[in-house]
Amino acid sequence: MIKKSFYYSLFVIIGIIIIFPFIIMFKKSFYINGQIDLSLYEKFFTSKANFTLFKNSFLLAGTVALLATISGLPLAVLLNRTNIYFKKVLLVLFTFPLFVPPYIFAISWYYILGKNGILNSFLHTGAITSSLFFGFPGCVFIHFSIFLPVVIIVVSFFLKGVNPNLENSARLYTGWKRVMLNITVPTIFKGIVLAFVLVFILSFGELSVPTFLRYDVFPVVTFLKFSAFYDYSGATVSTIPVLILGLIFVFTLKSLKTANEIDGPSSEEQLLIELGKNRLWVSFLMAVSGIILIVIPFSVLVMKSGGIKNIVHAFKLAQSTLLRSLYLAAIGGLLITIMGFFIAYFEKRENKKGAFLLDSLSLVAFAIPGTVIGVGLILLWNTPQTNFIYSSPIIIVLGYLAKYTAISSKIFEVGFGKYPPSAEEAAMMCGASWIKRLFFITIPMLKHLFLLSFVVGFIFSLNDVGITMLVYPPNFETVSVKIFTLMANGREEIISSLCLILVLTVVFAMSLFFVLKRFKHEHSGN
Amino acid sequence: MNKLFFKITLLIFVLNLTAFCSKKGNDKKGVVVVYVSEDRVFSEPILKEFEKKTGIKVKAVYDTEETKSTGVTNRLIAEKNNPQCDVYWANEPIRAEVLKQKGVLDVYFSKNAKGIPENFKDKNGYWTGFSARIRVFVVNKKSKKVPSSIFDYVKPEWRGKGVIANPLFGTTTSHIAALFTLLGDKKGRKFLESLKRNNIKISSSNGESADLVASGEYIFSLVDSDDANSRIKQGKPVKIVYPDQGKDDPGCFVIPNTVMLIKGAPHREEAKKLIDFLLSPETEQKLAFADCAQIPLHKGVKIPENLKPIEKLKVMRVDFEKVAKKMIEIQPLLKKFLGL
Repeated sequence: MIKKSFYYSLFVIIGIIIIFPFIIMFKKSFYINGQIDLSLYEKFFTSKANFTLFKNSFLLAGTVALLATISGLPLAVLLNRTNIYFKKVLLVLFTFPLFVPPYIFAISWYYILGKNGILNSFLHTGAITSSLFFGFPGCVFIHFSIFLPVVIIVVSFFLKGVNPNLENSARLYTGWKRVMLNITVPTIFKGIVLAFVLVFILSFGELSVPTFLRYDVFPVVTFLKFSAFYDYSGATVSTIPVLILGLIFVFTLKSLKTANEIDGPSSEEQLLIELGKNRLWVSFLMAVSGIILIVIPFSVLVMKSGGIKNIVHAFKLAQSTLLRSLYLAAIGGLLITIMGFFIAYFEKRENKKGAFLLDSLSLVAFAIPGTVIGVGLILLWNTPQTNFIYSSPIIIVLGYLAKYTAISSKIFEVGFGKYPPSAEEAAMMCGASWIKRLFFITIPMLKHLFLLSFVVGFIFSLNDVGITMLVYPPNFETVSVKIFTLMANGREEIISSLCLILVLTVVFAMSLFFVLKRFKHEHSGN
Repeated sequence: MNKLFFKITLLIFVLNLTAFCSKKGNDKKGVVVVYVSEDRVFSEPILKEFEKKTGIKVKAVYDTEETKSTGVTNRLIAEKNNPQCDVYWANEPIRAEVLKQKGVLDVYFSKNAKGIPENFKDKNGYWTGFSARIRVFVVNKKSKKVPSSIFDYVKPEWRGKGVIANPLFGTTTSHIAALFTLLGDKKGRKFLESLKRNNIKISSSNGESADLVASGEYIFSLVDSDDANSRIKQGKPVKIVYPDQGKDDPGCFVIPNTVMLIKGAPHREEAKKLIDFLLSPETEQKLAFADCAQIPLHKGVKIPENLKPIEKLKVMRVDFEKVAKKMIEIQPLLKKFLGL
């Protein structure tokens, strides 16, 4: 009874948070002047300009996904299955960009590749690099840098789940190359496809980089329609392609799982490729790639910040904003974790169709640009009756929940996939109530995932710009929004310092996670 | 030990969360909510000074560069039936007119508005102008030739050498709309088409335009005087040229900041105090000496030597109410111009 009541309450709450904003937006787009009118949709789908924008978005996302997958797969193999030097350092280095706001990369590389950028000072190539940077090639490069970690993380995860007996048996008869090609890669094929689709969706929906680099794509159009023309309905209609892509993403994810369930990381020793005499130069090459893609842009930020004095000054300026951002992100991370856990629980353990629907919708919401979600939130919550929500930071947290719950539910799905329900079933047979089973078996079994989900939810919430920019109540701006509002005539040193502070905050959060994980590992003996 | 650590962490988190979420007892007194389209680096110090002087807490929402003056305008329109804001500080009068037409504004005649010329305020008291910017050319110093008129944008010798900010946002929209009221629709349309044919680059904002000229990617751009002035102060290799100052020329477009009271403002009395403060000669002087270098509309206000007082400039004569209406009329044309 308790479980049923809890499940229905959860369904209603999550439904309101994720589904209602979209219902309101789409209702507005179908009704014009109180009558059903499909003219917006007709205009949208017959517009040549929209076709061009769609083509741009598709081209950008497709190119980024392809390049990231082709590069990410061997990188993941090298990082997980070889004896390269500084494996952990390289792993952290290559996965780090995922947790940094994309526009920070764009700003950093602008300082390097702009017409009067650093590269121009040495090679006088400013005109060429600038013309390449501001447009499609620049967008591809920045998105590739940001989303490459997605491929590495996803493929690494699938690599860890490969049954080592298969590889070890094959290794008895043939070399590691054939084992990789004929056993490992086919086994992790679903992970490769998943990584490709995920990067495609993320690149398609990302707004800040194409805006900065003046490349017209769909999310930018949505933002413009809302911002410039007060055209909520037009903005809604322009999200249709992204929604369709979101649904494709969901379908891909769901069908991949039914075909072959994810095993989760294996505890047995897996195939390790000895690089031999190639070890040094491969490690060197990877280190150089990491330095070019990640270390250089951040070094430029440090340089442009103009020294400790400016960083301290920026910190003082942003102190209350930073604290506020941390609190909002912490609340966001916590609620995202709780919601994600229960969605995964009711879907995986209880096989509830409602939870399946919520999971699918949360995945679609993840795929949709934050600006679109922001529009939906304003339309839904800006009423006298719900003013206590709209005029408070709750509205920002609702945006985080709508956008990022999917990440948490995926993390917990993996956990539920790895641990069979036998322990819970045994407890049930002994008469333990649902609450007791939940708190004494299920949650302790997955406690390491709570920390991971919290940290990931925290970081994504902290970096959010699209939703926050549209809905933040007065005096509740976050650091990301502050950076954007200061870009107009703000001093370069201050903007760079603020970007650096945000990056260091993310570094701190990730470090805390690793320290806590290690602390727990040492004290629990796991 | 683990459990104790966890409980302490949770307690600290909950206590701080409660403090973060709770409203202070005196929050409802002495608070004013202001939405600001003027660049934050210039407006924030003024608002902080108001806070210091009056003790009234200022809660602000700022526009970002990309949505300059439309993002926040949008919020005001969206919130019309449930206003959150008390005062809107816009960086130009056109959107003030749009908001007036949409019934978002309330009437207030500030005592400090008396010294401001009539053509820079709404005659019915819905908005008042102060501290103006001029639409100027920012020109790269390396260029031997210098543009003198806005119509140089469409001349062959300037092909591909100019940049202009996105006409969907901010002061560029206002300027294009003002041109349409002066030239008429036919010539205005022709001007837009010629811009495209002459390979004029569209940037995302005035700030970006100024940076592109400063970096040498383009020779000139039409920007606001504060954008140009800030680059000069940063030591960038650019200079200011006041366009259309000749005898038969229309003059340069002057854009005052505007301040207005929102209808249904939750903190009406505090809002009036803020409006009075913003319209004071002291505030105008501060904005004149700030990096934005905005020109006071009150007479006799001290300004830096490098600024030209408004009486020494040939100013484009426009009716802002007509410009606002024209701006809405030409939106489909602007969309088409941008391929939207």
